[in-house]
Amino acid sequence: MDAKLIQLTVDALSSGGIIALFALGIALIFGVMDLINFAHASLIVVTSYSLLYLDVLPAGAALVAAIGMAVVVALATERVAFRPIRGAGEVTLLVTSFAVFYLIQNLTLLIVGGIPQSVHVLGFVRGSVMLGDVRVAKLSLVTIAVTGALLVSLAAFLKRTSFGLQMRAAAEDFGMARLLGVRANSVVAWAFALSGVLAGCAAILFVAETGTLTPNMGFNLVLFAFVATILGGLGSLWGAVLGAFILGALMVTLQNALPLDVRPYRDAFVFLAVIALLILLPNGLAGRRTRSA
Amino acid sequence: MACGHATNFGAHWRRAASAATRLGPLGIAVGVPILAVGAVSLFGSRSSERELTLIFIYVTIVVGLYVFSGLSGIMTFGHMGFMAVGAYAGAIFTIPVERKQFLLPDLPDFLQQIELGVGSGALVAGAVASAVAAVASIPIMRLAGLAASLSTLALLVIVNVVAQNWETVTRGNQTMLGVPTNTTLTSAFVTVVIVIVAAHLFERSRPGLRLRAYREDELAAAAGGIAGANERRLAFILSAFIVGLAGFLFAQFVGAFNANAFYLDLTFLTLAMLVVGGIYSLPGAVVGAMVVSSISWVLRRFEHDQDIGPVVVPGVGGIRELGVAVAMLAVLLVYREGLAGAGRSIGPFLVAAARRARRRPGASAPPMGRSVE
Repeated sequence: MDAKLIQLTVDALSSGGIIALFALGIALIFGVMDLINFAHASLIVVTSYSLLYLDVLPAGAALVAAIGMAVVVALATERVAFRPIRGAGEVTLLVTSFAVFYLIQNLTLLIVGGIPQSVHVLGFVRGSVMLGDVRVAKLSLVTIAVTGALLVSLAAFLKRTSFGLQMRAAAEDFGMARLLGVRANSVVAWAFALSGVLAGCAAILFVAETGTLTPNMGFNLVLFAFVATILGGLGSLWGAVLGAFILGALMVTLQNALPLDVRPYRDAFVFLAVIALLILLPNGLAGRRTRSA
Repeated sequence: MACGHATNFGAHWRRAASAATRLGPLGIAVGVPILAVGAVSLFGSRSSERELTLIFIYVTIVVGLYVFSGLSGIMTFGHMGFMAVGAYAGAIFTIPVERKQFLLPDLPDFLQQIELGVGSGALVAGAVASAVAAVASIPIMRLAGLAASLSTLALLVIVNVVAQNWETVTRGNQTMLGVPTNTTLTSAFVTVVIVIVAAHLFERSRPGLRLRAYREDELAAAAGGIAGANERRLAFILSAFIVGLAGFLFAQFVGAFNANAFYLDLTFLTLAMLVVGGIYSLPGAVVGAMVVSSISWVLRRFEHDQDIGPVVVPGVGGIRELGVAVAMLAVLLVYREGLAGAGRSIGPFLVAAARRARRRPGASAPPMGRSVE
């Protein structure tokens, strides 16, 4: 029983970690722009398929370049699609981000073609390690470590640096922050760039685990991330992370606890559980936006 | 209509302009499909009839989307789930019993034996979709705008997962076959007209007006005693009925389908139709649906190599989705209000032109005390 618990915990932390990285990127952008950025979902496809073309580079450089692609695409979407509508109503922002997602997704597929391909990433992280009585995949541990490192660095950046402070101020009250001298464009651009880095890392970890590239890869995972930000409460970065880990735990628990014939419905059950949680807490776990239903 | 000494042409023009402006949005909403049917009946081929039937199915969907998103201001990404429910329910209730025994052998007896006609099948399909919406609305309507929109996306995924796995009812991953193909241009057209009129009546009804008040200014509406949740729920259920109806029509149009027909691609296409037409306008929804369907149809042909005169234009796979996405973004970034906004600008211009035509020399003095509204 103990071994099983360790296994489940490792899985939950590693899946939750990937979801958390996506959720954090989404929460960052929401914080500075009040925008739920569906286009974030397209960054998985962009990063992963870039890896395919970048395998001429040595492993480390390829990874960095792929993350770079995610950052470039994120910044491009900000400049071209989201800056003109900054401050527009919720609905316009939401629908625009959906359109951008669709556009980038299909453009990428147009360029690379839709046939599933295999890719080898983080090849040196093969194999498993013994943790007490349990055999644990090295990749899971690496995922947890990378996620932890990124979260800690982001926290340090936001708390300790001047720019982090500006971003937090902008997330708190954009207008006031500008009056106090925060440059709006830089803050928003940095939010997008950071979200690109987070998404790129998450995508690499995801691809390392699954090994295949398909047109719709990771969509369910990113959807979990969106739902995690709601669960955590829109407007709270750490709520998003918490929500993500809760979802990861739910996912892994259900995967193991559900009877075999019901297991294909796992994702449906996760969403149902989230909806149930939201009935109890309509503003999420740590939400600061209070809107009556 | 006063004023008697104008030329015949002037009188007809005035009468038409006056009638058109008086009919207003409903007139346009119903008029455009009427024109389309007329054009296709006179000039079209069998295939353009089929194409227009499909377009009318899309119009039905988009009117359904308007009834919820347009009136409440909350974007929905999940309504294709209701379309799927309507399609599968319609299939189960209308596939002939002998066929059903092979296709869906494990259905409970009651469903195995039943076989409905088009009318009752359509109503059942809509009702089942509404029932699902009613249940889903319990948690969803408690959430604020953005959270509600994301939860409708979760709903889409849930319905898709269930449809792809519930083999006894939906044949799971396999195609649902053997649905009687009863949808004709006439039945689609009649459905479109009924649905548009229903939407028009709803938006002018008490709940509809309260909902629009809530959409315009949530705080003011709350101050005026309108909390909005019940109205939103009603609109959600009504819109699910309409979209379920569209699903039924679709099922009886294609005869065979699977769960992936009702997922992201169709969600995006119908959302684009609503946006291009103007989210907050009923005639906009109708016209947007028809315009985007036409663009999509044209682009689909360019996905294969085309011979244009001496030149062969190479096919670009996926150009249809790209074209629709670009059109949608153009509206969102440049002309926010879509075609409805354009119509609103042009409308008064045309009315003013009609007024000026009346005052041209040759017509008698402008009528006193009568305004064309």
